Amino acid sequence: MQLQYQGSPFSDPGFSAPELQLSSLPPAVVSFKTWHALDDRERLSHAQGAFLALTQHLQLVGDDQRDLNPGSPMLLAQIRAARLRAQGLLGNMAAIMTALGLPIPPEEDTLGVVPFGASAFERKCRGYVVTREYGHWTDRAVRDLALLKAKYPG
Amino acid sequence: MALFSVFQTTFLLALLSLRTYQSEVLSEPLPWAPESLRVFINSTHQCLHLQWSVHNLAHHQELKMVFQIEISRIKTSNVIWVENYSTTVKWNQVLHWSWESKLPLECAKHFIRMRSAVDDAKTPEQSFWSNWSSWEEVHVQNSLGHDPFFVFPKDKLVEEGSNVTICYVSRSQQNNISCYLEGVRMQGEQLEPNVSVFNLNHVAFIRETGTNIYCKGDQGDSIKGIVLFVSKVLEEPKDFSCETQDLTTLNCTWDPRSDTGLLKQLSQSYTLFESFSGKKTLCKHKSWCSWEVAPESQEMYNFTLTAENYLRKRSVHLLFNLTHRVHPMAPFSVLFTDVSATNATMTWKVHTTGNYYTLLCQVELYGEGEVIQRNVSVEVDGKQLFGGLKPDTEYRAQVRCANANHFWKWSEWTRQNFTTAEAAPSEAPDVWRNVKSVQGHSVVTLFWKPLSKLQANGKILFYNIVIENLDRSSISKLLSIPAPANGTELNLDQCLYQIHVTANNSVGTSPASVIIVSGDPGNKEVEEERVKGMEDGFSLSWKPQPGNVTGYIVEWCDHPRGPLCDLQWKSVGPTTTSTVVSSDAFRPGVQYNFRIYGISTERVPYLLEKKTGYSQELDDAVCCKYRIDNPKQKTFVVENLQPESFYEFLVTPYTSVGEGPHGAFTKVTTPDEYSPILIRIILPMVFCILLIMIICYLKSQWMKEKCYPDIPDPYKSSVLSLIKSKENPRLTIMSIKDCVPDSIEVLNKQEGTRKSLTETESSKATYLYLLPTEKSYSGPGPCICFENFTYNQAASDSASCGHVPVAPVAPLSQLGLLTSPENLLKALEKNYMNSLGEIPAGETNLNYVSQLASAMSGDKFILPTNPPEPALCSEYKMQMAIPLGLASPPSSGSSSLSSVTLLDEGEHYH
Repeated sequence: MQLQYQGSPFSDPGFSAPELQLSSLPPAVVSFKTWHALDDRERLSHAQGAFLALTQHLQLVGDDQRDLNPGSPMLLAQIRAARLRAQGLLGNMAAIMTALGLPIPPEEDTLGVVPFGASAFERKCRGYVVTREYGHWTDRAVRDLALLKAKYPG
Repeated sequence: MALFSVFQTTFLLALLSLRTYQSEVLSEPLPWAPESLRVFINSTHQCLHLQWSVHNLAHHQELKMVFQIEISRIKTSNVIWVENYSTTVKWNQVLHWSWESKLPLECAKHFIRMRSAVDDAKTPEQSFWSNWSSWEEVHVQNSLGHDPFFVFPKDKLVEEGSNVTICYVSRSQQNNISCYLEGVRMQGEQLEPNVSVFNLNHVAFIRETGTNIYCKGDQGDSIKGIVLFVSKVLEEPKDFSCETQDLTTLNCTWDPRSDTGLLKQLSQSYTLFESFSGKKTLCKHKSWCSWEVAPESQEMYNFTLTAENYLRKRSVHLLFNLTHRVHPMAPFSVLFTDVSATNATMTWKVHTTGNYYTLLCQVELYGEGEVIQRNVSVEVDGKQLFGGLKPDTEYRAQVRCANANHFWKWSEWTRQNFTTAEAAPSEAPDVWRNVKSVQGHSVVTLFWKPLSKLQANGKILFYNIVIENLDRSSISKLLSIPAPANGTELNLDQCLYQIHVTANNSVGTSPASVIIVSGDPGNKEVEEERVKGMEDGFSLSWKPQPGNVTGYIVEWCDHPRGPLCDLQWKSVGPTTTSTVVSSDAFRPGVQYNFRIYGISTERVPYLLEKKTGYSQELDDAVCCKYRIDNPKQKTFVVENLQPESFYEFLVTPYTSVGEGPHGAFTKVTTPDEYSPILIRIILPMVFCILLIMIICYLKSQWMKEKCYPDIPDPYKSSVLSLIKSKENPRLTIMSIKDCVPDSIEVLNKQEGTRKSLTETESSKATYLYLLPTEKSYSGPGPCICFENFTYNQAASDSASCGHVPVAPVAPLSQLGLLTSPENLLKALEKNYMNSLGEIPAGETNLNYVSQLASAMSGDKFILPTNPPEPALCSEYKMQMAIPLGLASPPSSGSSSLSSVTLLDEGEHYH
């Protein structure tokens, strides 16, 4: 949805650019072996850190898109909704960590001064990366929580 | 003289020495050469800013100088730009100059140098170039990051139709990089081994959010790109105009043309500048702006409207006198006073302005088909009298005004309607009469035509009829007939009457229409003439009457065949002796009769002539003509007439000279042809059907039993009686509900049973019945029942069936062909018969084939240890000769049950 507003190549059918990454955003892609070997603390702190970064990045992308696509309120609303969901998930994960007696990592600024001075194309690219990673991290969080649920039934 | 020559030579030498000194100076730096040259880069605007100074200028000295600036690209020898920059240089001044590069500065190295010359009349001897400054190198690539490649320029804003140069700079020369504009690959040219340039000519506006241009390498490098913002070209505002309604505010309007707004750039803004007052205002709207008129009553205004966006400005000018641009507001309070039947006075007001001036107002009045237009000069209140109006008519009035002295524009119209008063009807009604004599009385039917709207002058309320007995002048009678009646009937005696008819509305009475009626209808015998109708009616003419005639009346009936003839008349003047009578009611094939009356000076009508004819003679209406030669014949039968048709007959005598006069036609309508015959046939038929229905109803139960019982009873089948007569009288009928087609039972016959089987062969009483599948059975295949009386002596009466004893090992190839019941029947019979002879003694195997096996899955066969549902076929089971050895259940697997053949998709189970 977000890509449709950005023009070619982003809006081209089947667009994918896995090489585009943001150093400030941890990638969700992980080998199954590594993922499975994570202990509870690692697993939750990885996800917690990722969603903390995602909330901040979604804020940035929302600001970017307000400039790039001011006439698309639906797009802006969707980005806002995604950020709120990420924040909600963050809160839930903090509760789980507390329940498991795990320390909650402190909130930190993941973006720093990176966002300033980006060109329009760079902002489109980082919008793509953030929304892509949001999707991947959401999928991974589902798997993470399913694993924990199986481990701690009831 | 010699002294002079010496002096001259000395002077020349001195001058020469000076020149020599000067040439020595030239090799030295010029005193005013550019120094401290610095170059600044503005990547966003692709600009190079140069900054330098000129030393050695005296305090307060000003010198006109020319600076020649040279710019090279990639290498110093590749000069791409030379420009002479002239300016006046002051003491201690820092000089600036800018240059915009077509190529983004990041795409290549640039080198800049300059030299100067004095271009001043005060020091003409200094007008030669200084030495070049050293080359200043500009290399932006040095400050790039570590990405594999970059695309430039970033986020460029250009106008539609301009040319843009784009480049990518690669870190490595091996990178094979492709660049795309909106998904279309661009063809570039190599500027340096690691730099390629793409020239985009006449770029088009695609969308407000910009055009993406991106590059990607073939080694999985990241996408890099730029967004090119292409704006529409700012156009000059069109139709710029200012006007005032009240002399206090000017309203200026224009057509803004296309919007050049983009993400990167706001829409163009508009400013209004007035040069006389020096005031300026930023317009809040795109197409109009308000301007407060100066209180010091400025008359002349010189406006400049400027449209401006990020890239350019456009201006238009307008000079005018304020009083020449007055567009008055629409008049108000439009009223009509003193409205009579023919006159009305219209008044209105205009909006006053600060200054006194005269307005020209235009008043228009629309009546029924007429327009009255007046121009009125107005200062405060307007007034206009309209005369000669029509009574009882609605008029629509409208008024608008403009500046009388300097016309600019009319105001909007202000509209108001009014209706004139009624007046007395202006014309007498057109009256005619029909007189009939009934038992010594005259029945006079008066007819009049309603007055037209123009004549009525209002709504006609009633008609007054004054009947004056001319024989006894003292007696007169007044009748009032309410509208909208158009006639009345009077019973009069045989006296002479003068009848006055007037129409009345709320205001007054119309002139009277006078007609004289006597007991004599005036229908004296006159000759009837035939006339021929034309397309537009009947053309009638008559002989002019000697003596005084006040007019003529032609009378006819619109519907001569109808019970109400719908009397019509047409009045013409005394000098007219012909007229054309036309009516929408005239139909082809109908004969119309016309009577022409003259009206005497005493207003007495008298019949002059009669005319008759068809407006259009139809082919089938043309009469056949029969000649009757026998003068004594009084009857004649006309044959071959059409049923249900209208005929008119006329009999006229003839002599050798010709035919006699035509009398009246006798009208005959022939009856319907078929109805008597139909009645004769249909009535008896209806009676018969009714009778049958009643009988059927009375005997309905019996009929149902006989013909359509709820459940067909096989015992009542005619087939049964046929069989009974020929075959076993003990024949029984199978009951369908007892049939279980899906069961397989395998029986092992002992020797003892063989006997009965053998008996079967000899008795030949084997009957095979094929039954259709009953719904309650899950299997779709046919239920085949065999009734074997050899087995079933006792049970046959109770109609048992359901299990099929067939011969052992039915060959699949043979059974596969059993598609039709007949084939199946034959095959089974044959196999069964054949097998009987082969059954070895003491170990007889009976193989049962499920009739539905081919369509069933799952329970393909059921061993005797697990017998089928016995409930329905218990009688049949009684016949089964089960060997004792097999009677006990679990041994079935190893028993001598040798062969069970299943007709299932070619599989055999043993």
